[in-house]
Amino acid sequence: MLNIRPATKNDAPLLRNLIHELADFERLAHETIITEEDIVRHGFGAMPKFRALIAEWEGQPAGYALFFEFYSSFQGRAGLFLEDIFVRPQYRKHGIGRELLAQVARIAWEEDYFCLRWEVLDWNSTAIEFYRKLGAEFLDEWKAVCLIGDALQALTAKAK
Amino acid sequence: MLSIHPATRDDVLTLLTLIRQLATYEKKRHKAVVTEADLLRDGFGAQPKFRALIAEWDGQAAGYASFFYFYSTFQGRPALFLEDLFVLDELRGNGIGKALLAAVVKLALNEGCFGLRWEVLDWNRPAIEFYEKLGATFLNERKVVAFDEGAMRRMVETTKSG
Repeated sequence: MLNIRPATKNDAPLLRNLIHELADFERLAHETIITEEDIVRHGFGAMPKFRALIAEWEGQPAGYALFFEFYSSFQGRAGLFLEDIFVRPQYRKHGIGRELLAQVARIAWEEDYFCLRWEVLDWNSTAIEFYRKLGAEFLDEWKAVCLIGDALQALTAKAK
Repeated sequence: MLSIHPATRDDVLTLLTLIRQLATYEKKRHKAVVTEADLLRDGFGAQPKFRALIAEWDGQAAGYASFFYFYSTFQGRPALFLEDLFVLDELRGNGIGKALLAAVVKLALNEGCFGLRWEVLDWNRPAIEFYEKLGATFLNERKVVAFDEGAMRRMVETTKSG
């Protein structure tokens, strides 16, 4: 049966594995460099940068959700950002993903966050359909942008 | 002349005015329900949920950037999420936006962040071109999704576990 619990420091090796499995699934393994130490330091220190839930199916680790706070200057309130949600392929179709998402939504609801927000890859139609059925809204007019690597350095070189 | 300083409690009214002006520009004025009390509590308390920089041009408020930490599980490091970047219409073309962005990037690098993330409205051509010129990467395969309060409540109510 399904059991969902908050991740602890002892789950760092498991979380690392699950994150790398998600990266493989998202075809982003080449960008994934997180280590066990990163997880311990950033997730389970004095000022955690994220929280995570672990889903177990019949005592075996089956998936996870990882999230943290963000802020909306228009709302004047914080929301919860779901960075990752993942169920191992062999454990799909048991409602584990839905339950993980519901638990994160419950945390967001109980802790008075104004919304739960996340991102999905446009080719992941299974996930898109799943979110749509649960009443998620697709904010299609927003494009995600980032500045990394050389572009980052180039811009500060010009800043006085 | 341009000067940029970290926002303090004394800037809350200026910040509120600028946020509302950004919301108007983004055609989302009805969504900007933020108050002075919200900004004071969330930006300048014991555990700030965001930080901001204010740009002044010849001593007058000209624009702002607001941002907070964000975490990437793939990178295993934080980034800064740039929530807002805005320059008053009449003061554009003076390099204020670029200076604000560069100041945020400088903070990101000093604080060990791997980068800067943000979102832009797909109809905002001037902004998109500005970011393109600076070498930003558009994560076009990413769709932004959200549960609003109603969807969160339905999700909680239709799930047995507690």
